[in-house]
Order: sequence, then structure tokens, then C-alpha cells
Amino acid sequence: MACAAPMQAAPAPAACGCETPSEQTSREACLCNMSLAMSYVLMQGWAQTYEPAVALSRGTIFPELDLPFLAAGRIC
Amino acid sequence: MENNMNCGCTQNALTGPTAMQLAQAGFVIFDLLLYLDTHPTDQNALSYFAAKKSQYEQAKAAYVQQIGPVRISDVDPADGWTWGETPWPWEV
Repeated sequence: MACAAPMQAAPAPAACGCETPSEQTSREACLCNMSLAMSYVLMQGWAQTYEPAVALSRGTIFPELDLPFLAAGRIC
Repeated sequence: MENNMNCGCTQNALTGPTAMQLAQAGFVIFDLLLYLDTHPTDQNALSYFAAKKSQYEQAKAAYVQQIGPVRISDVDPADGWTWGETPWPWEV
């Protein structure tokens, strides 16, 4: 199936009041400069599963959800 | 998980399910719960849930019979206060 053209996102506000140098390193300053976006989640389908011992160790029975989450704390 | 030979328990823990095996079996059906909440008509998942639920129930029944209660509702007062007198999960 052909993909539809992506919808155009609205540009981020030029200024949101938190660009002063003293705030550049704060979490809020980083977030307020980010563009708006649309998120989506694919519908999971049934597939193979881990053996129980592996599943408990990995925190999921689904290999396709056994993903590394390396971005925590690295927003800026 | 290896059985602790020094647990002092009188039951034969070596032939029954370990607490870790019970936790593993329980985790499988709990994760299936999350999948089935969003895929309630997935027949493959329902069949797998039925099989894994049965395995968990058998393992839990064997654990309760051979080692002790897992939940407070597993305690049969006719056997005395087994909740406090049988090995803790980390002792099995």
C-alpha cells in the first residue's frame, strides 16, 4: 500500500521565553525549543515468544519488544 | 535458580517447582494480559494464554501443595497457619 504524503507540521514558535543563556542548560529550555510532532505506535502482531526464563529476565515475552532504551537522560 | 539445600524445610523442594519457575510462569501470563488487552480477539494469543495459564496453575498448585502458600488465599486453615510456617520464596 502506498504511503500518503506526510502532513506538514506547524513550525515551532520562534520564541517561547526561555532562551536566555542562564536557562540554556535546563531541561525546560531544551524542550521548549523542540518542534511539535505527531507520534504513532504500530499495532503489534502475534509472533514468536521467549521461553519463560528468558522472558522474565528481559522483561517481555516478545522478542520484538526487547529493545534497548539508551536515550534516558539524554534529551539535550 | 538453584535450590537452597540449607533452607531447613521439610518438604522435598527439589522435585517441585521453584519460586523462580513460578515467577517465570506468572510473568508470561501477565505479559500476555497486556497483549490481550489490546488484541482481545487474537486467537493465537488466546490459545497461548490458555496453555500458559494452565501451566501456571499446575505449577502453583504443586508449589502450594509441596512447599507452601503463594497468596494468602492459598492458606487452608485446616493445615494450620502455613503462611508463616512454610519456607519463604527465597528459601526454596
